[in-house]
Amino acid sequence: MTTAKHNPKLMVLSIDGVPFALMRRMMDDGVMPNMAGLAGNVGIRQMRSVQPTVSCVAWASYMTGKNPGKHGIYGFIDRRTESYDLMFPNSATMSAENIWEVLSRADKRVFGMNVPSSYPPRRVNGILIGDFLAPTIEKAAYPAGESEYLRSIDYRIDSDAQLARRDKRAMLADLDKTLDTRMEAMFHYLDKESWDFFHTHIMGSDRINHFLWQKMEDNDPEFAPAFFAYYRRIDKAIGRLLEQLPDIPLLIFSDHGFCRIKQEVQLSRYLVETGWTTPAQEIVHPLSVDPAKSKAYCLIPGRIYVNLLGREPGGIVPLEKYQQVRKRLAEDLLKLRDPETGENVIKKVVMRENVYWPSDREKNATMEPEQSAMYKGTYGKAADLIAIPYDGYDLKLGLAGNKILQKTELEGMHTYDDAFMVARGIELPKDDLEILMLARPILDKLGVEPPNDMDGTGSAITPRF
Amino acid sequence: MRDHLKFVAVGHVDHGKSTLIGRLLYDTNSLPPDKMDEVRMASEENDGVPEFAFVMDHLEEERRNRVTIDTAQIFFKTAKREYVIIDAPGHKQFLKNMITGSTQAEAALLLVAAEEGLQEQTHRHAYMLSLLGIRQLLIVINKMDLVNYDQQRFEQIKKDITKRLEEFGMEPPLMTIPIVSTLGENVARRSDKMDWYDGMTLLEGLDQLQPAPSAQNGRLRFPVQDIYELEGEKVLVGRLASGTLRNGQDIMFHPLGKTATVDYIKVFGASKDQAIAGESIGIVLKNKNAMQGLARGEVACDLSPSPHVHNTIVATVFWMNGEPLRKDETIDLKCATRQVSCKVKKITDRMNSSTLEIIATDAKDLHDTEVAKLTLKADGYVCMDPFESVAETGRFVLMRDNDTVAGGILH
Amino acid sequence: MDKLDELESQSIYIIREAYYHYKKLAMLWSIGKDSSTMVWLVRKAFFGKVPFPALHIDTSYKFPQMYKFRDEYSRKWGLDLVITRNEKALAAGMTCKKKLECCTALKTEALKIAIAKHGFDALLLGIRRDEHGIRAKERVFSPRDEEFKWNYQDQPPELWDQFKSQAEEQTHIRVHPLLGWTELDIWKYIKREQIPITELYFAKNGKRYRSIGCTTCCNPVDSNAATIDDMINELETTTTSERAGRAQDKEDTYTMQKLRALGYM
Repeated sequence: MTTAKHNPKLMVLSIDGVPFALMRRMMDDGVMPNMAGLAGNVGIRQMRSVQPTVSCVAWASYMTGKNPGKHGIYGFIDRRTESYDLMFPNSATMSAENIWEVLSRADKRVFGMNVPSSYPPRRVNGILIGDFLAPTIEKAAYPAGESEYLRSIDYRIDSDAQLARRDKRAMLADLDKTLDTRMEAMFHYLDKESWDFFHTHIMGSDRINHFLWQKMEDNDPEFAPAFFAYYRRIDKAIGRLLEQLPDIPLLIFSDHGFCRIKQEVQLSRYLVETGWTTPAQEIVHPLSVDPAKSKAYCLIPGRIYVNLLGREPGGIVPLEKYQQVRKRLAEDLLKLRDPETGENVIKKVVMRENVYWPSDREKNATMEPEQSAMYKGTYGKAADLIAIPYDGYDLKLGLAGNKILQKTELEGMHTYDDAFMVARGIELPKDDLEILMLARPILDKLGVEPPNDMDGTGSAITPRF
Repeated sequence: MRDHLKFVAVGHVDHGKSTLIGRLLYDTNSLPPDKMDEVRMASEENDGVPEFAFVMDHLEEERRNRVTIDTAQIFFKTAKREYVIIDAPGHKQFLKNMITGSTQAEAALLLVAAEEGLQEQTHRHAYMLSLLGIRQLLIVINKMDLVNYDQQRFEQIKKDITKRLEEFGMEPPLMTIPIVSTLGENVARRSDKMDWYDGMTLLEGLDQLQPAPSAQNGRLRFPVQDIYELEGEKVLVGRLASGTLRNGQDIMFHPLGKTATVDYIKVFGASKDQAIAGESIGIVLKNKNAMQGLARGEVACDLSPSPHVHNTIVATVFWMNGEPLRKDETIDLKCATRQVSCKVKKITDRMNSSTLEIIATDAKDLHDTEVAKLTLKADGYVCMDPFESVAETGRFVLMRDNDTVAGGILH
Repeated sequence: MDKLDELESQSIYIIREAYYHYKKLAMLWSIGKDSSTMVWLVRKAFFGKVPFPALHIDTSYKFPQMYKFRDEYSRKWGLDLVITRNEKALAAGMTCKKKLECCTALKTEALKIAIAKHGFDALLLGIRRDEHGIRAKERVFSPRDEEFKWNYQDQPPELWDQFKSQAEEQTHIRVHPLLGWTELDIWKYIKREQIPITELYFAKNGKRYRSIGCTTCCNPVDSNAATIDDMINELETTTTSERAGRAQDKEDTYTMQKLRALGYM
């Protein structure tokens, strides 16, 4: 019950994947009283995420203040240049400066922990501890020497995701332990010196939502209380935080929402069945396609690529047919129905030039399809189409196998519209808020000039879907 | 803020300098990944403490003896800028190489171990740094763990060094930082064992250093490096040492004493009407006759104020060779691009560079690592400036058989 | 002046200084990015008319793209191209079964042959300090004795751009104008100046050559850098040493497992 030795000038605590409605409910139901108290004073609002709605893309957009066409993180998986091989994007492949770097250049002391797309950690004036994709603590820490402290408290980079599939009780214990060491590290570092910018991220919420969402919604006698107990734990840490830092500018928010899964959709399989993709003889990974016989293929979630001649290494679709192919693909995607319910699976299919913009274009100026198709550089790596599903239909890859729709142990999936935002002591744009708009007001609050190619200029740039 | 800065790391070999450099590279992720792993693996055999010194010692003998022989340039980066460490070794017999290392730096890091405190070597380093015009100094007091993180000890050493520096006419250091390089305390990571210290970590301190001021606003000094003949045109080539040069400008060559006008500045693949200090350029003069008498070694200057042109040179010289300098010896002097033969007329105030003890006011010789005021009579004229005004023409080397044996500064 | 301007100016100064002191000068051109950058700087130093030869040590195992590049640009740039090979060793079937032996025979010996034939007393080499451990100890002007041994213990001090510039008989001086440049500096300069560079450096099928030499000994590394901008971005955010390969596979396996467990694969 002590106030901090030093106060950061601006604090961010992010909680992955918590939807607006759930947060409201938990505040109302007394699960998160400290959040309720805070939101009671400063309000809570909804915020839009990013397309596709996955954490690495959302957080990359947050930390760069740019749309994916400028930072180049389009998903957890991407292709190696000039090939059909897979590669895993991360901070090393992200083509823009992150907010810690911008602040460092302006001589601000910065701290970041566990934020997706921050591994491998870039050099900053302060401390950056990378996210769950870091294989070891040593590789996650900048400066490298911080690993010594982290090891000493048995810091967990991540909870064990494989455990979650096998044994939900063990998963819960693991999530608790991970959260505890995360919070211990957070309070330790908060105390160490005066930070200008301090950001800690909690990932466990996304995990628990993925694996226990249904049980929570269905009021499972064991797992529903366990679900809320986890959030209660988070709230307790928030309480301690609020006590230590009663006045400073503070943002607590999530990167996307969640909803129940009806079905997982193996979209690659659908493209095979509709004749767009032909798998290779031997399927070793999700992009094992036969390019000579594939006009399109997809990556997760809902990212469809046209096998374009002159752009793809084994491209077969000529440029003149690009737009036509995209339109036909969109038509086919929109036809996909859930055989059990008869419902449409895909809500909307968007063209890439309507949702991503490259560095040297005006933010709302749209390119002609052919120009967009052949664009080089970071923007050029984007999928040609993004399929946006209806709530409940979680788009996956799954080239092998023969079912398009199936269920696994996953119970929850991401939603685009309904992340939550609670902001104290900082002015955010009034109306439509999307996650890429946050870097600018944060920089403004800290008195630092934002890079002039940031997209968040006070109003949203992404159209609503 | 400029994007890079060079500093020299100076300190006694046993005070942990190599470890400090290794730590700086490790913590800023400036080692290649395989080296990072190597450091971690080596640490397992060392009670979990990363062993850094081996990263620096590239030469095989050094690996065995744990002594760095020569200076090396080492690169690392922080969020703010790129750094080049000129690692000057600490042993007496390698002083000449250390001096070589110091001269390219814009700042210096002076390392002292808390247990040992000031040593003979430290004094020598500090004096040399002052002589060489290194004005920005960070002092790092290492191995604080071996003195139990004692604040008194830190303050005492800090006081001693600052006093020493004052005696040498140096400004007080920018900051003095207590560290433990092996454990990384206060290097990149703030130490939690020294609450009494609320200053910056070493990394933060480095980011506070200022780059050397730009010479482009100083007096015009263009030492002629060579003369090329291109398509019937004579071009004077060289690097502008100081000031700014413009097309049409009137200049005067020294020591020749001749005036001329710049027709145009010649650079391959571009057209320029102005050049600033630091640029390598060509100059074409307006009048063909103007080229007469011009050769390498002449310095183009503003018309006024006119520079000093010396036939007798009185300067502070530090000797760096095992074979001592003798009075009346004939030796070569090279300042910028000008080379002349000189006779050593007087060796005055021969001094021990670490104690500053005057060995002889009128000496017959000068030995390795010693400093003296030399009076040199040249067989020609040399255009020179006080070192504080124009560094390039205020410093020189002495050579025997084309081997550099001493460095000197004009005050 | 930014960092590249300073480096450029310093290198031109060194090159001109070498030419002043050594009339029988030659520049070693390996067709790689570093020596091609050096050739570019040499052209700048002499306003496009390079007064000494470009020496290419040909092991005969170089990539075909390199030979093509060499012939095209030596013509375009008006270089006096001297090609040297150890014909005897090649005729005897030397290949790199034993790497050190091969490099000695095909590179070092070939160089000796050229020096003996043309009487070069100094060579310009595009070596950078951040390349290798040993390199970090090089001076800008470094004497080599006849057997190319380098007495690194007894190096001449350098003071303020005054370089040691006379060698004993039977030796040649090596001059390193690029010693102060890092790999990133080279790429940024290549971008700025639009220096032509052989296509081998750019990623194809997820791999590119970080350093090029003989087809037999050079292995590509994993990379997506297909343009100079990508290269610069990659270098700015990674710390791989140039001649080592990247152990990306291990990490990729870890990432795949993780993503699979989370349902992303």
